[in-house]
Amino acid sequence: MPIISVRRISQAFFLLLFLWFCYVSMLGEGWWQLRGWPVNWFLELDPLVALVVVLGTGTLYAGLAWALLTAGLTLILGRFFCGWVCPFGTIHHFVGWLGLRRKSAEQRVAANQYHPGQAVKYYVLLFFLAVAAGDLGGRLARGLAAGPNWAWGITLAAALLLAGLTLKEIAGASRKMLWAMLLAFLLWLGLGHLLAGGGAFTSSLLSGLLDPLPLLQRSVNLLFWPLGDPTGRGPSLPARLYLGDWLIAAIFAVAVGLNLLRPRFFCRFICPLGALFGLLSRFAVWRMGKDVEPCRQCRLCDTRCQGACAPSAEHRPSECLLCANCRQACPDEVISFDPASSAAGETTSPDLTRRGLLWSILGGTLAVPVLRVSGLAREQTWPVRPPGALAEPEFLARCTNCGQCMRICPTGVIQPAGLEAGLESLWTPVLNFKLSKGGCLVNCVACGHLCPTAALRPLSLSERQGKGDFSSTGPVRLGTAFLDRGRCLPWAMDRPCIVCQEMCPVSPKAIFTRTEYRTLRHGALTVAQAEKDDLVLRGAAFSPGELATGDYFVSRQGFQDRRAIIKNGKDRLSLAPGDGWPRPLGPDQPVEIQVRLLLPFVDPAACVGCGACEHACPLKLKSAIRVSGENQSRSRTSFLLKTAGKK
Amino acid sequence: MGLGVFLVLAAVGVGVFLKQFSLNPAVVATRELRSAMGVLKPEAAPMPAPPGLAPLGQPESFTPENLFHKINGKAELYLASGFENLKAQRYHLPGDPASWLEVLVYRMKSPRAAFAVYSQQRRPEAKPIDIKGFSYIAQNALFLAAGPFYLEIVAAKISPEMEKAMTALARGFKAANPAGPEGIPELAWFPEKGLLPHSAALHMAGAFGFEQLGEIFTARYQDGQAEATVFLSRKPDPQAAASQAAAFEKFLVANGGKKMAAPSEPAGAALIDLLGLYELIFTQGPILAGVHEAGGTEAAQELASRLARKLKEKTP
Amino acid sequence: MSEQPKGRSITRRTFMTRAGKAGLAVLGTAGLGLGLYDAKGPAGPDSAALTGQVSLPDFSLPELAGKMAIIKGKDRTKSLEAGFKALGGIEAFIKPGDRVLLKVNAVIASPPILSATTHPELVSALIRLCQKARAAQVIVTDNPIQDPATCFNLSGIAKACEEAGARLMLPRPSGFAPYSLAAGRLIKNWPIFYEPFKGINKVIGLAQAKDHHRSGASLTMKNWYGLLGGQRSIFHQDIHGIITELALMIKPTLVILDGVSSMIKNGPTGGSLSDLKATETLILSTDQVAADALGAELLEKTPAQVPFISMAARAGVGTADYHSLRPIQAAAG
Repeated sequence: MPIISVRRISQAFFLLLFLWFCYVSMLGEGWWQLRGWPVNWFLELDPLVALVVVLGTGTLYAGLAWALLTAGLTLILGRFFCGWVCPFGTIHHFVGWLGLRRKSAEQRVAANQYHPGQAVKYYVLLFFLAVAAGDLGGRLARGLAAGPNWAWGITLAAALLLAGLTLKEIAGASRKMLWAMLLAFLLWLGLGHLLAGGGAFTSSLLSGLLDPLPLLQRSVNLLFWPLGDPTGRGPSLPARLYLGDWLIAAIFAVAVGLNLLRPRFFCRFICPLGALFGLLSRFAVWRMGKDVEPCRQCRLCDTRCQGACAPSAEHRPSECLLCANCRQACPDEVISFDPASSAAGETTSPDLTRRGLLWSILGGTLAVPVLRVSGLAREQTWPVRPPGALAEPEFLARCTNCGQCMRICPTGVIQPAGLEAGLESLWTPVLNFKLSKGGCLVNCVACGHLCPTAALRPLSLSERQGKGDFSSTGPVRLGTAFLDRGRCLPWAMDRPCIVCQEMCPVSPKAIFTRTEYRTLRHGALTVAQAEKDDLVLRGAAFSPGELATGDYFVSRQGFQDRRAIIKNGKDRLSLAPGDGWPRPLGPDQPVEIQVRLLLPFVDPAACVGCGACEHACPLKLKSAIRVSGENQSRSRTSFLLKTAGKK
Repeated sequence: MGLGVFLVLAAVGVGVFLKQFSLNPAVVATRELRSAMGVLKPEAAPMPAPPGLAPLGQPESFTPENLFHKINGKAELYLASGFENLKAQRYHLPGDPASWLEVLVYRMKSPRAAFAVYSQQRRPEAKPIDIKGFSYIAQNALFLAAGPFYLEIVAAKISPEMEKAMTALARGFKAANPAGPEGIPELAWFPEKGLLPHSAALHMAGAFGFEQLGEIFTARYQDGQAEATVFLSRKPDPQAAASQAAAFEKFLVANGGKKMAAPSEPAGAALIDLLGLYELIFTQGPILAGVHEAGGTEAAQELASRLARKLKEKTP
Repeated sequence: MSEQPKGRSITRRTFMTRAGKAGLAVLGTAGLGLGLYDAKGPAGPDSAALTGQVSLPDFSLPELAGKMAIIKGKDRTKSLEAGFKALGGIEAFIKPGDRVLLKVNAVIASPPILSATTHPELVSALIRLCQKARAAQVIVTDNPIQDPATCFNLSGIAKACEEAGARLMLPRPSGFAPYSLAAGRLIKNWPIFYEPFKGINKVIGLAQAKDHHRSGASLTMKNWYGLLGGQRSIFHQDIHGIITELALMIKPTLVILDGVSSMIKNGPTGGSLSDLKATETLILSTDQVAADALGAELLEKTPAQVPFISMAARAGVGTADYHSLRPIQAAAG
């Protein structure tokens, strides 16, 4: 079977597998639901995700170890992932093919020619790595100060070696450059140590914006599935709505649309993961190349080349996606996959300029402090995030904006944050209670178990609810509900309600009520006629049944007692039979028609910020009770109470 | 080379397939949550997919504890009548998802319990349909009691196709659960003259506002303009019938009823004037029976006598 | 001009080098990855974050439990060195990279000769020893009842810190945090001076042996009183109870009781040299109760006069029978 057919089967297989994983990410035990499907496998295979998490936290979390497999295979084979596995790449490949279908051979060769702009993706990669490594200098320096430690020492040596080798290869063999970089590294180490802990140089994770796997995951999860929901055939029966989908759609559309300009535009020019693979393929044992030079120069190989890696001339292995189209297209079969360099020569390094390097690394290192200093991620603005979210700085160092938490959430309360939260928080999960189907359920812990990087920790039910082993630390609090008394129906409009109190799921309820009787606006009336249980009031104009809901009472002015109204006509009231008034009412006596209101109050010691109240509040445009981030468990400074409500 | 790749792909497939057997902790931890939200395990759908209909969404299942989540305040009626579980599933006409209907299958503790919830919710605009037994159609919904099940089929859109589909579905259900009115002998004990058709109902508990009055069959009668309700109930033995009759009488008196002179027949009957309407209570062996909310004493007595005669005839 | 067609070949050497580099890179990546592997994931917020209260870890070293040294001598520095030598050297207590907290007694602004506060010479000597053991940082602190800066200055402790190179941490309102002793009755949700404890892994108490009007004696266990904030004077109503609870609250790595010159009457503030007696004893102990038992003897107290010692012993803090620990007795020059 021709190799490109094998490759196409592989691409189709992984694309379908990816879409399958996206589809089944719903809670349930059916085979078409989550069960134990490893739905994060593609994100875990992604070495860029693993690398930025390692840089930002110093640990390689659980499933991300799969990335070692991908990285290892790339080190040996080259960019096989781009050509054979990446589902986003497969989409680009297909759309690129569509775009070139009616083009002539010359046009194809021109479209697949190497372009210096292909260096941009390396700058993008370095920018993201610098953003993630913001705190690394400080941590390494602190580790050093703690004294010689064998394990740590080996790790540091290995890191330096790999970094040094890579940078050397990128920059070429210039010795001066090497010294400059060493100096820069030491400077960065020192600065990091001095400024670490001050919050200025910290790590953040921005690679999720352009890393193809989170990008595709996000687009499918938040855009494509919800488009199918309203037909009743989509994966979720209550249709999902996501704010800011237009931006996700725009980016996806642009990324895919650009393939019509040049095939695999994203892969060649933008993809930071491709850039990382390009760097890793530096020592690949095998590479594509010509067996004979000169060849016929028919350029047929160039008409099909996916990576724009110049198979007909000096080959660029760091751009080659191993698509094998060149091998298939060559009429003389002179292109093969061999340990030897191409007979036409090989350039091993991407064309990076010193200036470009400097700007991307410097830009990345300074980006985080700039973003933070401009107040977009300061502690005062900690948003309400899903349960299990780490403290904000640690959270931002791990969240890849993949949208898995949003997909699995059974009530759809987890929403992608928009640009108003700043670039760092873009598409990170925040809770929107009004858009949800019930708030953040207190007996659900799904989101943390689907987060590939532990930006949301996997919680047990006991930990979330503060029971069992966790009874001393209390439940996980997301925030606190605050009553807007100006909007609340009982408070502001004399209308009985307390749906919020009914829906409060914690026990004892965090919303409690105090009873108040208020005289209605037109409730101060005089008696025209009174019998034992019936009253006729002068000048009253009630709607029949209006006062019969069980919430209305007649009160004699100046007296404490009141009697319930069970029926009413326009001006006639029937009162509940009972003992009656101690002294019967007579004509011309003043009475007050009162409504009994249960006024809700929130007890911050019991409130866990689940938002069931905000969701249930009948005021649909803006709830009269709203949850905000005060008193959330993950933030010490947001505390309302000295002892944060632990009972 | 190609073979190697295929082996790898196969290995990936096998690995993924094996992995899905070990449930994600999120799935395990949210079992209780999902059952509260009414999502059923896939194997136990309420009934096999009926012909001509395609399932829409997932089947739901409810227990007495969470029935409230599905039908809210109505749950009380079912719970008082011996509700066991509810299975619900939506279907739609193939190719037309907007024409959907929901099937609710209430499993009650007995055919009588099913009849109780069926009869107490009978819609006034009921139209008969061609299914033997307890069934009717009312606007966009079809109601059926068969065996221990009470079936409600509610359609989102009314159209001839929908009605056909609903009827076919109900018929299929009835075929699977044939037990019908013949299983409830009391329905034949009501005298025919003046009986409003299909007005017989069964109250499993709390009839006429009196807690202790349970398993009471009622039927409505019309004589000219006057309406009245006749009730009867078979108790385990004559003593139980007598004591419940006495308790009911006491209840009526306590709520403003005035006991009147005992009527001549049926023997041992009590007649009570409750705020202008008349209640007549009598027992016949183990059967407690009587008339409720009659307009006049003659009407009450007349109905009671006919009832007593019919009872003697039907229950030796 | 025609060129000879070039073939494509690789020497074995080049191949091996390339394969070697790739292999090394794979191993390096794998090693790095597995070295940094974290299966568990990040921990949740600590209990302080969740409950709003802080907790204090156990700073004692189990392998050094029940060790005591009694050094006779007039020179504090020499006695201190002899004391550590007897217990296995400073290295037994302080490891390189440790962050050490020295809790001294700077309760009032009193000159060193009056022995109302920890002697600055002792503080210097201990700081130097910690640095010799390559501690990463040494912090000295107390929460005096009078103006902290004045107390530390006049007692000479501030100068000792500066000269020896330790950090003096003065109390400030933001440095206090609520704490509850699990088994306690008095220390419940009470502010303690928590800031000095952040990042610390070794705690050494330096107490001055003094007579105390209210509690009978102020020794190593009473020394922790300086960590209480708020209206701590109310605890005088149950002074023995609070001392017991303080000894349960702090489990130090070591306590040092300075009995080189003891205040045997008119304590705890004294004021006159005639209140002092040259008992010429320095006690190093990992058992606070034992140290205090000996200290009480130095001050010529009967057990009845210092009931907190037996209370603490009953509460499990240590043993009042210090002889049972077989303390090492030595003399320094």
